[in-house]
Formats: sequence, C-alpha cells, structure tokens
Amino acid sequence: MNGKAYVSRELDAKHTKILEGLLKQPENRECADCRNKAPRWASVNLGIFICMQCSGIHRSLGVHISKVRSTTLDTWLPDQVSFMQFMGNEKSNKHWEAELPPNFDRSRLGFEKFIHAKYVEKKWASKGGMQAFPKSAETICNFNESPACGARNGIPKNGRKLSLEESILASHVAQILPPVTRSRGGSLDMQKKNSAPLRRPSASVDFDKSMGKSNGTADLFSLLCIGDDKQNLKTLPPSSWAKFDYFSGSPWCRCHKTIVADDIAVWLEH
Amino acid sequence: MGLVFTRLFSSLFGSKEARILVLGLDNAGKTTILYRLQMGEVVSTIPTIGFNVETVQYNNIKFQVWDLGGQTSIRPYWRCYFPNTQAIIYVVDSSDTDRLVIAKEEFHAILEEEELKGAVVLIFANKQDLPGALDDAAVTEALELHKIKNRQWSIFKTSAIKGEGLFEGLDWLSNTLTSGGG
Repeated sequence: MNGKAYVSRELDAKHTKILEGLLKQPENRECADCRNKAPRWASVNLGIFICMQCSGIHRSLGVHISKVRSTTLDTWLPDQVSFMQFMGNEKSNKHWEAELPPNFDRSRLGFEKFIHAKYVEKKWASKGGMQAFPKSAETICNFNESPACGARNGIPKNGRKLSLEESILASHVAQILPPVTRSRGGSLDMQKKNSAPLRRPSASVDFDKSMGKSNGTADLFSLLCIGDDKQNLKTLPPSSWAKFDYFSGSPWCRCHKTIVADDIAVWLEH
Repeated sequence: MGLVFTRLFSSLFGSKEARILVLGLDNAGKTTILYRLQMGEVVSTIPTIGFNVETVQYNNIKFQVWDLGGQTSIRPYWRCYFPNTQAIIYVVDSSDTDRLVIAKEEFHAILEEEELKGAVVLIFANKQDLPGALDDAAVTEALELHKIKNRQWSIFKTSAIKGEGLFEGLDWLSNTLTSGGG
C-alpha cells in the first residue's frame, strides 16, 4: 500500500483473518461514528471501523486527520493491523466521545458535521488524553505481543540500534507523555513485562535530548511494535497487476512499515 | 448511416471526442475531480468500487471521462479500460506524502502498458488546499516525471474542492489532443 516494502500473500491472508476477527467483536460490529451495522472500512490512524458512508466523510478530512482503508479491498500493513488490534471502536470512542452527552442525537447534526466536530474540532475528546486510559501502557504491551509484531528476526528489542523513524517516534512520545509517566521508570505493568531498560541509540541526538536521564519513555517506546524487518522482505517490480498476476502469480503485495509509529504518536497527541 | 453523418459533421465542425481515464491511488480525489469538471460542483463521495463515467464537453472536445476505483485490489482491473484511451489523468493526493512512493510505482507501471503507449498524460497534484501538500515541483520529483520518455505530459497543481487548476489542465489536454497528441 505504501510501496516502501512488501508483505507476503500469506501475511496478507493472515491480516484478513485478524481483521475479520476484529470485525466480529461486539464493539466493532457498529460503525464508530454513525452506529450502522457491519462496518467494512477503517481509519487506520484512528484505529476505528466505520461504514462506507462515514468512510467517505473521513476521506474528505484529509490524511492528516484520517487515513481510510477498506478491510476487504485494500492490502494492510502489519503495523496497521496491530494498531487496529490495539485500538478498536470502544477504546477510540472512550477518548473521542468522552464529553459527548449520553443521549446525543448524532444523526440530527448530520454525520458530516458530527465527524468533523468529533475528530477535527475535537469537541468531545477527553481532556486528559492518555491519562484517561490508565491501562494504556499495559494495552500497548499486549499490542506488542500480537502475532503480527513483536521482536522480529530474532533481534532483541532492547539490544538493537534504533532507526531514524524509531528515534523520531521516541522523541514524539517523550514530548507527548505526561511528566508523571516520564519521570518514573515506567509503570508497574511495564516493568513487569519489560524489565531490561532500552539501550539508548548512540546515533540519535534528539532521542537523547528528549529522554533526559529517565528511561520511562524508553521503556514505553520499546513496547511499541516497530519491526526492523527490511531484510526479510523481498521487493518486486512495481506493479504486479501490470501482468495481471496480482491474484495468482505474484506472492507479494505492497506495504510500508512506519505507519504505526506515526499513528500512535498522533493518537497520543490527542 | 446516422453514425457516418455524425462523424462527418464532427470532422467538418471540429468537434473531437476523446476517451480519458482518471487514475490514481484510492482517495486521491478522482471522483471529486470528475464531478467538478462535469457539474462544476463539489459532491460528497464514497469510495468508488467499480467506475464512474461522464461526458465533459470542453474546448470543442467531447471528453468521455472514466473514473476508476483506486483501492489496492481493484487496481488490477484498470487495465481492462486501457484500449482506445487518448489520455490519462493521473491524480495524486499531494498531502499524502507517505504513499507517494506507491503512487510513483503505479504511475510508471501504467506508462509501461503497451495499450497506453500513445496516450498523453496529465498529472494533477491534487489537494493543494490541505496542510502539508507538496507543490508541483515536489510531486514532479517524487513521481520521477523526468524519467518519462517519448510522451507528452504535464503537471498542474489542483484543488478539486476549490476548483483550482482543473480547467487549466483540461486546456493543456485539449490543446495537446487537437495538435495531434494522443
């Protein structure tokens, strides 16, 4: 989908299965915005499942607000799938609709205005952001344990150098997290699941600067799923469809691995 | 007989027909562009599963404009529409910088197609109204347009929402097609 790397057909099939499973969960059986049944579209940076009508509205907001993909017609990236597992409609709405009156008639406003107010104006978003989710760090741990990510290629997460993308994410997270989280060495959950502190990268000045002396953010960061899996991915000529073998011959489809880093950082911002 | 007369009439009075394909990744703005050109209005869209086709009369050319869905798994079907195409309008979301690489790859794959060898190419660097949108020079570089050989092409900055740049592009297209390109 994003052309910087490719995922195998097997992985693509696995993603489809995971997404189908997520869509069967009660929280995801209704569109996150209009509550219509059986959504088949998603916003991959907001981590929500939405109906086709609402997907049209999300698309009109621009990719800086919402990145829409079809659960059935698009190829998904591992990190996008992982983020959907991490988020989902319920958790997302706990944040975006935190201040929404219980009996609010969302259809009266018109869904275009409703969705704009919800995600662009952040009219009903929880004021505390991440603080509204005391268990978020634990959830991120679980998220990391999802089959689509985790320590890949046998490289221990805590022992490898960080890529540029990763250090950018780390600096984002360091800026975004509330000071209380930053000043301790990670939550109890984090320490339980990830006892060894992350070794800081020698190459990343920004990372060191934003981290200061604390390793709390580093711990949280190390829990995020960022696979250093470039060497495992093969590349193919750009468009396998050109030979019409997309479905039959070519085992590869496109993907890009950095989405979730951006998306988690964006989500934490709100 | 009627068809012969229509063609004769068209050739005498300069009315030309052209088959245009509007291609690009999902959510590039293809459908919005089609209906902005055809109706002069911004319409609310949903993702195109399949195609939309409309006729747009402009500069004495009757453009038959095909807007094809851009989702990953339906891009393979674009090629079913390639025969007898005089021009491609390739639409890029200039603010979706993460996906410019795949936009480039799809674009160059299209140019490789035998059935599109004679088609002229108009690129719309769309969504200029959005924050972070790359300008035409940056999109030219990202799509590696300098690699295009033996083909007439041009790029325009557009905002389908604001209605900017679209008809400038269509002007270029009609001039190029009437002067023998495509």
